[in-house]
Amino acid sequence: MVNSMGIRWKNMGYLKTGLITGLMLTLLIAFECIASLQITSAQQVVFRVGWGGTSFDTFNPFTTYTQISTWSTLNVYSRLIRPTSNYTSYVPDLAESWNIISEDIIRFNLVKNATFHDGKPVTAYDVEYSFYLANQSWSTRAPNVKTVRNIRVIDNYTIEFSVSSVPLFLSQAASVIAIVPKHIWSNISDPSTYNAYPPIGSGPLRVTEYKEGQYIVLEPYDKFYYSWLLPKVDRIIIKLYPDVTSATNALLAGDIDAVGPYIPMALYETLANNPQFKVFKSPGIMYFYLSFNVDPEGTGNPTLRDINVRRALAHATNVTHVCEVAWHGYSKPIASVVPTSNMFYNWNLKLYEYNVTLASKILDEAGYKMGSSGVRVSPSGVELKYTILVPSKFPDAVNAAQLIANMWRQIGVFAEVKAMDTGSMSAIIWQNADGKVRLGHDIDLWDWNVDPNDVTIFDVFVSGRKLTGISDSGYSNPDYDELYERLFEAKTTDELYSITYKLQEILYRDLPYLNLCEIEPIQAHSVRFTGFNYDWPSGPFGGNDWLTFLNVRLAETTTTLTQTTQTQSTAPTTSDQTMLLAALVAVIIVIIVVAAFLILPRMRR
Amino acid sequence: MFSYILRKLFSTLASILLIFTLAFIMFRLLPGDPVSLMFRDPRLTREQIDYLMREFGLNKPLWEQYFIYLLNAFRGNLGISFYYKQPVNGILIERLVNTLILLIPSTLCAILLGVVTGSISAWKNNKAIDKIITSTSLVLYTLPTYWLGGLLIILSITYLKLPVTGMYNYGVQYGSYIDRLLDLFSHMTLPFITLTLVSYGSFTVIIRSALVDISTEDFVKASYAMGFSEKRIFLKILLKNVSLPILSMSAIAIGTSVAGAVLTETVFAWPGVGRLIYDAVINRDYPLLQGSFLVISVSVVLANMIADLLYGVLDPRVRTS
Repeated sequence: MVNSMGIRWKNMGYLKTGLITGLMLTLLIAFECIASLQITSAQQVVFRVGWGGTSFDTFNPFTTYTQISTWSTLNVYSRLIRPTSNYTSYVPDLAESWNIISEDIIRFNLVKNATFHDGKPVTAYDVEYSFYLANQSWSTRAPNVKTVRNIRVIDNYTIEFSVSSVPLFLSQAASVIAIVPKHIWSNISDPSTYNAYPPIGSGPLRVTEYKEGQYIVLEPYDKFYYSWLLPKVDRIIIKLYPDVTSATNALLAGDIDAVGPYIPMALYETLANNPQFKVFKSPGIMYFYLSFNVDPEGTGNPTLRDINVRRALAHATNVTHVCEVAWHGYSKPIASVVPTSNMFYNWNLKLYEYNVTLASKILDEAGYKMGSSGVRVSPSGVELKYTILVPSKFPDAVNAAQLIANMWRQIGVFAEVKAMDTGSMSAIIWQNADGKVRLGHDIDLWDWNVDPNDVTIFDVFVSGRKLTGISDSGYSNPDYDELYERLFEAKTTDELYSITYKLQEILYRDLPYLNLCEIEPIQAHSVRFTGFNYDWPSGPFGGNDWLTFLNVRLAETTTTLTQTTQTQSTAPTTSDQTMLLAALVAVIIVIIVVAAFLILPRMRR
Repeated sequence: MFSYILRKLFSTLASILLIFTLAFIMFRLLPGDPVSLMFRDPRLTREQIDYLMREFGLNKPLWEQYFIYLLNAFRGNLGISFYYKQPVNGILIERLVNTLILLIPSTLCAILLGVVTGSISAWKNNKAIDKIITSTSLVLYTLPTYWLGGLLIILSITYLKLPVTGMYNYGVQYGSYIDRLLDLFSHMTLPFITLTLVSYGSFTVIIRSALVDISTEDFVKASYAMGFSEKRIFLKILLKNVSLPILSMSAIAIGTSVAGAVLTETVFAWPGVGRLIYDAVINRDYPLLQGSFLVISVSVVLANMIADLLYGVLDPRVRTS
């Protein structure tokens, strides 16, 4: 009794501990497994799009800087007019019609049945107040309304703008400025810090739920003035992810139905080979460039201020090859400071010819002789040795910089690539000393995102913009400055095009930037949904297409299924079995652990 | 005992004050100016930059910024986030709750598993099972979180079909609170497993090592010689003696795990403090960074203080030393 049973009774303590532990673990794992089978959702058509990268900042349309914030509210706040997909013409929004009274006066006639999401009517006074807010010094939209001289409300539904340039006003202001309710915003003590949540607009979508850094839920606003434009789904959920990889994984797992602003190349094959997804390429709005420090007060290598050196470097750079290799063929070379999707892109500009012999000849003729170390030396004895700064968050750009550095070696120019975070880059580039800003680097490889109708990119090259931490070249040219100011006086579209073309030609000639590659975003969505315009600049999920959420609908083949079940993803039958299998494995593991508890004391004895 | 508690409280307060100062200085040493970094936009004008500098209080001398920060912090106001333009307190509390929902069960589970497998390993010192447990623990300990998380995501996409990102199926209208809870559990599964596995290894190795060390002590041998049962020796002597390292390790683990969750939260897009810190570093959001740093540091300091106090209870020698 004591010998045989004694040991057993003695071990009962371990048995109990083991059993309790095992039971807890089993319950936990089983609970988790069952959980994945039990998710239920309302029978609604829900479109879920994931956004990777920059976080949502604010619903305030006058202080936001992020694409995702603007895109999320594109259909929450009305605009006077909306652009078509090529951004060269406009369709009515809050303004059902408009007349160009003279070359500097334009009159808008508003729809009469428009109401804000709180039920209050939208009038011309709301439009006037919205433009007033946009013009405040704290507003990010102030440059957009630079053309506006005066606003006159004629009656509740008619408003007249006196502007310096009608075509620029249409593209930069009338189609951009969000219309907000005066009765709410005029009571806000400081609109510059107002988060505007919940946002009250008059667009076809209203925000019904928002969790900072997590998601935004949009639902149709049934009283929207153009009922035919109302979305074809019941809900739209924008999920926010820290990066595009997480967002793409979520698409693969069925957590979302589409992903933007792009998918990572590493997951391209996985998605492309899966018939459940449609993967496509769209026109890009993002491009990479090399910026040369030409700041006369700059502390970088002074040889870069010589146009001959910049021209030689341009001829020694095989941009086409860089785009093909560094960005795996999903980019194309560009010759200007705006991407080709921008309405003002100057198609007359051609890439600098890749010609190493010509590049060497330019340097030889300018007096840059080959030094003993294989690096050219300027007539004043400065070696053509440079540092290229590049943001480490763009591995493809780092590769591109390395490729370029290797190309330049052929002409006796040495470049060292330094990848770092953008904070460190900024600190090196814009150096504050004695109340002055000096550019302290040699060359940087960076990116710009330029909206299809945006002209503010030309502002980067205006003299003095290095002071605002915007110009990374320190370029200064009075002729350019003067021409840029004339942009805001352009009376016709032709004149507008003419000026923007000339601005690009000056920059092409003076080479503060060597423009490299325009990135064509690859995006993907579940084939359960359709109705997207893949040719919209930056794609349907890139943050510019205002029709994405209004046109999205279930693909015909899945409509019936969806109405009887639900659109939220639920685990298929095979996964149920997998879950049961996982639960079984867990139980086995627990039994082994419990057995170990029982056996060990015996073995010890 | 009372003077011991007072001493500990005093040193804890001193540490917290030091942390407040460090939080202020440290992030301002980061290269780059938050305004231009957050808003690299050609639209940004000189007026807007000046406005934002004023709004964020960055135009004031550094000492003045420090005193304002200190004064506000002691009032419980951690400032307004540069990026989100919302009070840091509100953002942090919500995210902290999300982090704790994930961290507490996984850390407790890792401790529990560590104690069990560490004990087995020590008991079977130098035997096959010990080698298996030790090597498995070391492998798990050294596994990069990104890799393990990525592997689990691939497994889930291919076989398990569990949600791989987020905390809930956002926007779903739940039938009941239980449905919501179940949804949370299904989303928790993968990050829970990842966090448990990566911290489990260290617990196992340390507990094993402590148990092996103690089991060679004379008083343990004497206990065997005196004929005490295995159970009594394990529970009353060995486990009681390793309770001190277990306690200190657990306290530190719970305190630091908030920061340690950064990678897991990023991989699984879990909306916790970890991800918030990641975003705040990228955006140079000083108030948010300071607030997050304070929360993590203060939780480590408080966890250590609690561990010290419990040390005093468990081992009277600590109180008198």
